Amino acid sequence: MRHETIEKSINLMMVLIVLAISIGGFVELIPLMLSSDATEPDEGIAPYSALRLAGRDVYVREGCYNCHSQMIRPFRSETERYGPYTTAGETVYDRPFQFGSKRTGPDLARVGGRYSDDWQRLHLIDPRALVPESNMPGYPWLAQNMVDPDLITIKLRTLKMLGDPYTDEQIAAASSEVEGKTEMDAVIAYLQELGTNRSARR
Amino acid sequence: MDVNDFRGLLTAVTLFAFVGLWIWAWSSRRKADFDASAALPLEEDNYMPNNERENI
Amino acid sequence: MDTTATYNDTVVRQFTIMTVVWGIVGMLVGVLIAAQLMWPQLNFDLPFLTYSRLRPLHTNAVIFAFGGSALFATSYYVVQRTCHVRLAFNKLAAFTFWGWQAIIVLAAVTLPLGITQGKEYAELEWPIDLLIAVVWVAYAVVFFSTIGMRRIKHIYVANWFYGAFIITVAVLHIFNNLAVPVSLTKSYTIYTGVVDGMMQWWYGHNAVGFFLTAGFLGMMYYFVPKQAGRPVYSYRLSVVHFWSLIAVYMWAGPHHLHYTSLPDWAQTLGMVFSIVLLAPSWGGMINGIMTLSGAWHKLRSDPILKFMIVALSFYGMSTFEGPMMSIKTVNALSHYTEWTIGHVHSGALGWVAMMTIGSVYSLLPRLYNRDSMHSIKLIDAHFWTSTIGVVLYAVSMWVAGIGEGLMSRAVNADGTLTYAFIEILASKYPYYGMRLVGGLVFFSGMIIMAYNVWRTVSEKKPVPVAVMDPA
Repeated sequence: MRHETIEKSINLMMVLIVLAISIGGFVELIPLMLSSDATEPDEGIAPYSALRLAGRDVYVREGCYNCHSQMIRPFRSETERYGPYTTAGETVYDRPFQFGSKRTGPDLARVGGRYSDDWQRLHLIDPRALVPESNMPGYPWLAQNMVDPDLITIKLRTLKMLGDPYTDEQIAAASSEVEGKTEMDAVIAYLQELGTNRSARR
Repeated sequence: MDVNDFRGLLTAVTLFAFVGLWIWAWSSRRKADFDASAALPLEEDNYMPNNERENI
Repeated sequence: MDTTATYNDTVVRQFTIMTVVWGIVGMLVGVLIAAQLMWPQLNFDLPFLTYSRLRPLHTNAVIFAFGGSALFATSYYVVQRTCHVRLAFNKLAAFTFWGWQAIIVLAAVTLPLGITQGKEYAELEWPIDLLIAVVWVAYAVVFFSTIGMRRIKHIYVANWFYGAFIITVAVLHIFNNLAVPVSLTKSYTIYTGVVDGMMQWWYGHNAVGFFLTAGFLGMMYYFVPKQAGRPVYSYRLSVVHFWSLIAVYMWAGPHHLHYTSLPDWAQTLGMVFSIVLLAPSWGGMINGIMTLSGAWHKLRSDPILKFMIVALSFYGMSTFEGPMMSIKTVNALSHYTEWTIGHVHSGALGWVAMMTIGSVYSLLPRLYNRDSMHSIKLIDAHFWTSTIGVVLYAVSMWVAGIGEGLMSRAVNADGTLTYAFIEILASKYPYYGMRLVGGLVFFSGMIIMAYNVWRTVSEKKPVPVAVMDPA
């Protein structure tokens, strides 16, 4: 192949561009997908229950990840502030992942159990009632919106199809688990479990 | 083949490709083509910008 | 008149005007959310006005609506002028315009409604993703067919950059958005946890690398030589830095995941390649700035060139800052802080927006049968508001971010943390104010631009331009 044919043939150039851009992604993504460290759950880590999944989807819908990470880095200042560092095995049921890229608010990876349900409820409705200097917006509408019991069954089935180990009993009970619950209930259930299932706790 | 052989091979291939690219781009045989290419944006359609074009 | 004898400038005009419109919209949303970070009550407890839903709207509007329209407009213009041929497939080209605008409108409706995949810069849900894929393939067909029909031997380097941008964005978009729908407005990604994170930042970093860098380098390689009236400083440097840039960029994604639970080998690869990336990036900056060597005096009289040179300077600065921030020890401080926001905006406002603005000012008179923009003085005024705006923005976020990083890790003699999270946030409010002012100043420049553009396009009717015979 002569070099000068490259710049004169657009087809050849397209092929070379594809080659040049493929190597990096190939080397970084494929081994990761095949690595059990990245894809196997830690002991005690299970798929989200129906109510928590509904809450997590509200969390994603509202865009909480724009200000809150769920990734405690292995620094003393972070483990002191937020708790034990996050492991890959804790995140294997996260679709999408929640590592975040900016902390306008604090990390939430281990927020579960830190505050009472009532604190969370009040804080989500009016953050400055509890934290006067906070710049978090209020999310009062969550207390009015109801979780859709029909959709949650489809969600669990879809996740099972994608490989998350939900049992048939869980799927059958899903809609009754969320029946009559508000989105606020769901989000609080999700938040209160965050980071609490890891077996080795400090 | 061990994965490390593959890694070494990939490094060698990309290094050779990079050096080859420099040699190719800087060879004197390319100069005329490159000069012709570089002149392409300066060929005017019927439009003349405010500050007149210099003679190149 | 034989339609193949003239350039298809209709689609270029459409995209150029929408570049200005979406720039104003995207930056207005940016100003609003900057204000909301100071005064959170500004969401009025309404879901669709809430920061966390509007921030994706801001990023999507600026990147894909403003930046995207600019890339469509200039790539269609440049490929016709440097290939000496009319754009291929009139109807398909028109489809890319209307399709892209439809995508933007759909984004502007769905994101405030909370319809999102929750992945940064890939928030749009699956039906819109499908439409993006269709429009993008049409774009590729139009662009590459035009090159295939060219009437000269060479393919100008700007087209290489545009071509790599088009191909790579297609690849990134498809792989990062693979998902299974549960309803029309909700889907689950097929990746989970760490793998999803790696996939997302392979996508996210290269959205920066190809959408906001390679594409805009294509713009630079045409409009800087054109405006300076001189050929590019070193064509062979452009060839070497093109291949290096596109090959190296694709490895750099993991620097968004330093010290996370991504395996160390991947973090190290990401860091090393991010540092290497400094070389091809600066190849482009040097090539652009040195194009003016011997014609520096033009900077005194031509504010369009000033836009371009300052854009290149910000490009050089951001591509120095980026590799530095991807060194793990630096990243340990900078990650998750306002520093990242400062870095992004010195790139997005300093490089992307200023290169776009310069190119639009250069392009618009040619599209509307005029010698120049309505007012050169207003271009100069726009230049200074933009420059002051970016500097205010970047400096405030640097100070806020570095302070935030240092306060987060400060410990007392007994080993306890010195500052509670809320104290760190409270320390940032003055800088949020300064950032808001910077954003407002930059935005005011866009209003000046809108007036200047409106006067320019409304005074004369555009006429078709004949395709020039190859030299």
